[in-house]
Amino acid sequence: MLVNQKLAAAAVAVVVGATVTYWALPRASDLSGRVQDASASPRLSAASVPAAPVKARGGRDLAAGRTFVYDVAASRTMGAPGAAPSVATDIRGTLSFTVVGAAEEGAALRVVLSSPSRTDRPVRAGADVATLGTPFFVVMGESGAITGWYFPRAMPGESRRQLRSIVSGMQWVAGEGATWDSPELDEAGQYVGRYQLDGTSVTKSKLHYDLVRTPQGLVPVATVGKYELGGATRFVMGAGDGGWPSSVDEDLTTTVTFQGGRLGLSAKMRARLVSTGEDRQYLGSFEVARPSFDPDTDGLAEDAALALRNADRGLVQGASFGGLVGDYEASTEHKGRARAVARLGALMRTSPESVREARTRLLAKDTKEATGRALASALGAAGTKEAQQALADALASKDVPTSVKNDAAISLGLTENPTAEARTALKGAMTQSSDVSQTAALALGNMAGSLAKEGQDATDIVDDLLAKLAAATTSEQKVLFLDALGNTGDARALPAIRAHLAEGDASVRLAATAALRFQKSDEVDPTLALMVRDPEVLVRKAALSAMAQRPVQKGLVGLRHVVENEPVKELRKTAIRILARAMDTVPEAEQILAWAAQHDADPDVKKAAEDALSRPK
Amino acid sequence: MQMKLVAVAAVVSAGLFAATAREASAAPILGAKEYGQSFARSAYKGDFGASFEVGAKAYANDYAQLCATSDPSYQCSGMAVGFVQNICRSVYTIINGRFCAQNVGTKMGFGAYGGAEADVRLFGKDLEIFDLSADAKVEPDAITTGYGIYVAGAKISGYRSGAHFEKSVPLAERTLVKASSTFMLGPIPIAVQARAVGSLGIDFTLDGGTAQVTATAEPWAQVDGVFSAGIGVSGVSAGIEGDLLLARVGVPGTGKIVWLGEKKFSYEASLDLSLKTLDGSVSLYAEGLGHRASWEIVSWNGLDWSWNLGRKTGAFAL
Repeated sequence: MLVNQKLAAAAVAVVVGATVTYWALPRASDLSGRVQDASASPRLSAASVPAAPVKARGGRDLAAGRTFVYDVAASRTMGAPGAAPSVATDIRGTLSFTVVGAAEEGAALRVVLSSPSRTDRPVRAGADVATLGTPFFVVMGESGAITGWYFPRAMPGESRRQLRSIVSGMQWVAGEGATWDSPELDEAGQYVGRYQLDGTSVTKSKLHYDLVRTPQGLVPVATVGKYELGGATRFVMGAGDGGWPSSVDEDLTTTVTFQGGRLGLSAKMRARLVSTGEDRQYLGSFEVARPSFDPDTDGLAEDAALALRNADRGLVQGASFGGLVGDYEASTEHKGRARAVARLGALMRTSPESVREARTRLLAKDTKEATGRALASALGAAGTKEAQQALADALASKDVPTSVKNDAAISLGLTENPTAEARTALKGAMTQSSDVSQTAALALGNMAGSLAKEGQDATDIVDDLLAKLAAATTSEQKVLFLDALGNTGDARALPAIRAHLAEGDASVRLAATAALRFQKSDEVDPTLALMVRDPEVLVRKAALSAMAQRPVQKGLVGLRHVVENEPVKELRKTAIRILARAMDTVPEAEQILAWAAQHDADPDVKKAAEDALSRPK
Repeated sequence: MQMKLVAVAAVVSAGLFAATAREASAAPILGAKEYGQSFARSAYKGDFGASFEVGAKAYANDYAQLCATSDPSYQCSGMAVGFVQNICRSVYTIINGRFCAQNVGTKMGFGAYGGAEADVRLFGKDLEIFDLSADAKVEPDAITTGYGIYVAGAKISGYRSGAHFEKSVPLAERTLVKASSTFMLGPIPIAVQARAVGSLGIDFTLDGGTAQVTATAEPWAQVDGVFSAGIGVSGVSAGIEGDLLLARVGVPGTGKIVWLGEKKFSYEASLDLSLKTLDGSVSLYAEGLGHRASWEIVSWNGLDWSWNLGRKTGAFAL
């Protein structure tokens, strides 16, 4: 008895402890949240500025009207690490820094690259040279740290980033002692620079990036991959140059190990101070120009979208709609057909005309059924308003075969930004033949889930499915509408789903169990932990499948039960597969796997646990 | 209301912890057996990989026995009246209720099912890609058949039917899951995307009779990785070329179970499997006027499995 009391006390403690720990931990959504890009604001936010003051050595000359002019030659090359560069840009010109007024964190400087020249390899059609000469502004502190960047909206993002790369490369921040570190921003992110004083020169190396720049702002490096940095920049300080280096020689390498491959960047620059002087004609120009500054400092949002469009164009490779449909129909292997469908989707995302062609082909009576299904799928991948309308038209057509309508319904259900017309089309399809109507019901559930993710109202869909479930008289009908409600993930469906968990018909119990998978409520995981004890093996399997869609941390009770007590070894292996996904993030998952690897009676299950434990992290 | 639900959930969790702790030493719940063929494989390389589970199974439940051996008074005997026993009883009351609800008519339930499911790892993210299944079963109060196709957790096709269900469900090649990443390399924004494009389907004949259940199902799937990349600079194109086969799996499977009367059954399960995964190479290229360069970023040698797992037959009693 004492043992049991201790067990119960321990169990309660574990639950309470786990609950407290759970609430204390950052949510997954917090972790995936983006760090605000400080550079997008007018100047570095207080949070991203180093707390320790950086003392100027001698101080930077930032007197109003002072001008420092450099002769600059910079080269940026990209390619496979260790191989010959594949993409290269060389920029030359006369770069002048003119102090034009005071700013909160130092002085505002007008920067302009005069007489710019640019060479690209491969040769770029329409490479923009003139805009490299557009004046822009930075705010610099006495230490030399650049804390704000200000580019006019009219300046192309690519030119801004090239200039930012050059000016960042010339940035040196004063400090104390023979060696000092300084957190700084450049065009790629926020890094820690290390400075070493050597007589009249200072050598700077980049230690590591803390944050890297993405269209969503600055994010932790691990979000992208790994950045390895090499090389250094040497600054020679001339006497009487007011803290401005007389020469800058940059030779840096960056290797990005991103998710899927590695790329290298070599940055070289030679800058020489050719003159200093005074030019007061631009005093006050920073304030005058302020309304023209782009809050998206690097113009990255636009160019990131361009990168995605280029990715689609790269996939299409200039093929026409007719050519890709021909490729699809001529392919005898899945690889060719899959590629053709992916390319059709990419074409339809970049060419509205191809969507019109797809619609015509989709609705034509003589279109092969397989081709029709592929077009329905590709239109779904395109996801544009016009593509959704084409799918809606196919659903309403009397000439389109059932199997194509099914794929059209699936595509509309999986569309990320469903239109009102798509919603209406799926509702209409629910009155068609049983095959199409059943697929449409499931698709409406998926659509409600997509709408909710977009913050749109899907009440009408959920209410309609709930009403149909309430009116269902057969197990088959109950299963269908429970499946559809499961796809919605809508909290309003939970009471109805819960009510069917204890039904005598195992098929209904199975559907209700599966329908819990996207529900957010905290009561779901203990419920699933009960359902893995159901007498019906398929219900237990459904409970595990539902757990697979949920955070492993919350399902540990049920998963542990399955691993330790489930009689069907395949289900134990499924639990192991789910646990394996969280091995890096949930310590208990590794413990349960280790238990299975040691204690499971079945060698296959033991092996699965061992494999999971040895899987690359 | 929400707090109440959380509190209830916590109590149930506590009960489950206690029950789980006790299960190791409790009397086993008897009356359920399952036989068949199954297969699982996984292969990972760096940020990519895939894992599969396939099976063809037959099972039988004796609800009278399940009902009796899961009785709370039986499972929680030997415990002193108090908190622990209350938790034990509350948990086993729920479980026992389910078993006993089926303890009507024949008191037997049996069925056969088959299916395939897979995960993929794209760009380091583990994603459930598909789950295909078909089953036929006889319960004391119903004979039903059904199939289901899930993609990334969303059910896109499938429903339940009566005692006989024969169907071929081919779905078009479509993007099942995708992963993308946009990052800066110096001043250049780079977007890379990977899509798992697959065609899925299931052909099946499901029969549920009063004494025999047969589920013959062939779930099949072919999933290819289609990659694309672009740089955020006009005038120069960059992309990814090459192909990656993530998986090609075909699983003809049959599960059959025959009730021989009383508590005796015979079963038959067969499973053939051909599986090929992670084959191909992917290169990134850049090109402009008169110049083209490409370099391989990842490659796979291909992993092939082809097994005739054969037929398993036997007889058992619950």
